[in-house]
Parts: sequence; structure tokens; C-alpha cells
Amino acid sequence: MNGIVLTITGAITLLIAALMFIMPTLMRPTLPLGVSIPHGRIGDPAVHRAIQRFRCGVAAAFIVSLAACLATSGGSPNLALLLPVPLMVVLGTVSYVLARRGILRAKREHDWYRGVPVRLTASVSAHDTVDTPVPATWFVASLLLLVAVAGFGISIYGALPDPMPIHWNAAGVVDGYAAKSAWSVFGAVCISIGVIVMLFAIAFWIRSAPMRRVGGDTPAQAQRRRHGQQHLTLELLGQTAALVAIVTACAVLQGWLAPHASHWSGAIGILTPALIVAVIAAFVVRWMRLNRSLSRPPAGSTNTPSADTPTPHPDTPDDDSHWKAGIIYINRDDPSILVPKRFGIGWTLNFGHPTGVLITLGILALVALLLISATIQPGS
Amino acid sequence: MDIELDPQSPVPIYQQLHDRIVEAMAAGDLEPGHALASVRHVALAFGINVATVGKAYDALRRQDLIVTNRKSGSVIAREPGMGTEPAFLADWTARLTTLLAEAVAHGMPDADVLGYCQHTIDSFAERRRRATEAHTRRTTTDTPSRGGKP
Repeated sequence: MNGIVLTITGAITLLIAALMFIMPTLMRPTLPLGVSIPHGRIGDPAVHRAIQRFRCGVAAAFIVSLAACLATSGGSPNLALLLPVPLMVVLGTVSYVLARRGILRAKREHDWYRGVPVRLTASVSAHDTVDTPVPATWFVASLLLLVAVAGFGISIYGALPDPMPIHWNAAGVVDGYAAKSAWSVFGAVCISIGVIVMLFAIAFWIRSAPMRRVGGDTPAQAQRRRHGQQHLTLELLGQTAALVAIVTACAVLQGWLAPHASHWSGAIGILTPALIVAVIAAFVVRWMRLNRSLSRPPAGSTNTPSADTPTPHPDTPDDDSHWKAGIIYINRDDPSILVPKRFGIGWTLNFGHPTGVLITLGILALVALLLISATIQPGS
Repeated sequence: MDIELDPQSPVPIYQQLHDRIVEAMAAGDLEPGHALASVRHVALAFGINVATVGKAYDALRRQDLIVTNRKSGSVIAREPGMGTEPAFLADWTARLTTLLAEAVAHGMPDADVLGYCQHTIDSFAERRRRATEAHTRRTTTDTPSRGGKP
């Protein structure tokens, strides 16, 4: 049993490490490790060195996390289960913060932005921005699946055992029961439906976050990048909803139909990480393909005028000062609550915006509430 | 209609926004009835303060270049060749006098001053002509405007 838990923990840690490792490849070249650089400096030795250091740091963080997991597994299995993932995230972040300093130093010492023209580019027309459609099919199909599962549950409600098995240990053996009630039978389905509806709402909300032109992009390229990245991220959100629905459906059906079939729970235990890896891998491949199609014509050589770029496209202003440690965005002038992440996929909040601060406090309060309720429950 | 702002320029951002919109009108890129994005939307798109954009729109409104109403937002209200208001003429002549005086004071020959004026006016006309051409080509071939030129 211990072995399975440790394997899953190790696998999640490996997934996080792998994502951190390839992240520099996924990011735009004018923002290596979240440092804004002019596109004439793409491929600078300082940039290469910093990315190499970051990757070494991520590899070391993975080894340390794994070692911590193995070292604590004998004494306290709970610690071995809970420690590696946060440790990996923290150490990976530390190596990001340390490695990017190399680029910041080179940029400061050689004054990379001196004499480089920078421009902010955006449209002033009302009807220029075409919203990327939300892939509603994923969300609707996920909800339909869960509603069908709930409908099936209602039809067999009389035949379900009382008490209901509601919790399984890592080996797939029932270790928790609850009196049969609407909540113990349909609770998981309801929570999943809530999560999917929330993801659906978030999908609409993130479209309002601006994706501004990045350095060196022509306006046409900027638009393609905006639509491409929005499309892929919205698809990822939709696929996450589908994943939640499928895993919930399988787990709930097992609980109703065959709570003691450990081979079934074992299959779910394999299906879940396999689906997660498949979704992430497909996303990464499509993202890299998008980046490749956008970087044509190659921007490697400095300022060579080519037939495809009739007018030179200036860089975007150095906005490092708004990004604390290259992670936290604080810009009081920016009216946007959500902005694309500096390093990583997705969006982050603007802490210079009152609503951004409010949302963060709300999330922290929610997490605190969940933690408190989780620690109180076993005692009562 | 994309516009570029230079955050390092000594010219204030609101002034740049105002100037680029006026130039786009002269060049035929922004025609009468063309709806401008809302102040908030433009501020979001550039990542600049809402008040800065508001100031630029206020200036355009004061000059009657745009009109704003609740229903259709801010809309371009004037076009090249439609004639000017006397109040505008007085203000503009004063600014033009200073601008031309600067060139003369710097030692530019009169013919060159006129040459630059002519060149600027011609380039507006040329861009207007190309904008109309592109517009008619778009409407006649009836292709969706998405994607732009390859």
C-alpha cells in the first residue's frame, strides 16, 4: 500500500519537475525566465546560461524532493506523502528566482534597452477584437455525463447499501462509511458539477484578460498568438472539465455498483494519471506547434529585414518593474484584473488592482476554512 | 485600427493617443461613423491608466472630432474635406504659426518648409487613396476580414 502512495507522489513530483524543465521552451523568447529583453538579445549567452542553471536547479530540486520522500517514508508516511510536491514547487521556484538574476544582471550591466525603440501597440477600434469562442462542447458533455450518472443513481437508489462506502485507501479497500443519504450518494457528483460550472465560468472570464503584443511581433502575428494561446488554454480548461467528469463518473459508479472490486479502483488509479498526462502532453505539443508557426519567419538573426516583414516591428517596453521576483504582478495603472503569467501557462492576478487583492484574500480565506474544517472533522 | 504609443517619449501618453487618432483620421484609417473602443477597453488593451485614455478622448471630444453617446459609444464625427469650424481655425492657425516659425528660426529655407508641408499632405492623401482601395477590394471579393494579408 505504501509503495503505491509513494509511486503516485513520485509521479506527481516528476510531472511538475518535467513541466518546469520544459517551460523555458514554451515561453516566448523575449521573456526568458520572466525577464523582459529586446528581441535583438534573443540567444545571448547570459540567457542560455541562466536557462541552463534553472534546469539544473529543477533537476536538483526533483532529486531533493524524492530523497526527502524516501527519507521520511520509514518514520512518518503522511509526511512522505505530503512533503515532496510542495517541496518541488518551492525549490523549483527558488531556482527560477535565482537563475533569472543572471539575465537581470547582464541586462543591467550592458544596458540592453539603450537605444532600442519600444512601443505599446493596441487597437482603438470597437469591433477589432474578435473573442475566441469558449469550447462549450467539452463543458456541456462533461455536465451531461454527470447528470446521466446522477440519473442512474436515482434509478438504483433503493438498491444501494446502507451505510454507503464513501472512502477508499490507496490499495482500493473501503476504509470509510457514511449513513445513506442524498449527500453520501450524490455528494461527489454535485461537487464535480460545481467544479465544472466554475471552470465554465472561468473560461468566459479569462477571455476578458488582455493578451498584449509581445516584442518583435507584427500586429498580425500578435493577433494569431493571442487567438492561438487563448484557444489552447480554453481547450485545456474544457479538457480538465471532461477529466473531472470522467474520473468522478468512474469512481462514483464503482462506489455504487462494486465498492469492493479492488481491480476496478486500481484501474481508476491508473486511468486518472494517464488522462492527466495525456491532456498535458497534448497541450504542450500543440503549444510548441503554435510557437513554431509563429516564429516563422525566423527571428534568430538580429534585425535582418526580410520580405515577410516589410516594416520593422519595435520591441515592447521593459516591464520587469511591475513583476516582483518575476512572479507577482503589481501595476496600479493597469485596469486589468487578470494578466497572462510571466512564466508558465495561464493567468495571474494584478495585485495593484483592488479587485485582484480582494480575490486573493477570498481564496486565502477559503483555503483556511477548508484546512480548518479538515482538521476539525477527524476529531469530532 | 492599431495604434503605437512610445512610453519613453517626453510627449505625454494621452497626447500621443490623441495625436495618433487624429493622424489615422487624416489618413482615412478612421472614417466618420467608425466606433472607437470604450475608454476602459483601450486602457485594458494598452495596460495604461483609464484616466489617461479618458483625457485623450476628452480632448478629441472638445475638438468635435468624436462624439460620444450612451448608445453607440465614441464615434468618429469628422472627415477629410468636410470643411472646418471658425473656432478651430483660429486655434490651429496659432499653433501652425509657432510650428512654422520654429522651422524658419532653425534656419530652414522657405521652400523646404513648404516642401515638408506638401509632402505630409500628399502622404495623407496617398494613404487615404490606398485605404479606400483596400476597402473596395475587401467588399467586392467579399472575403472574411479575419487573418489579414498573408
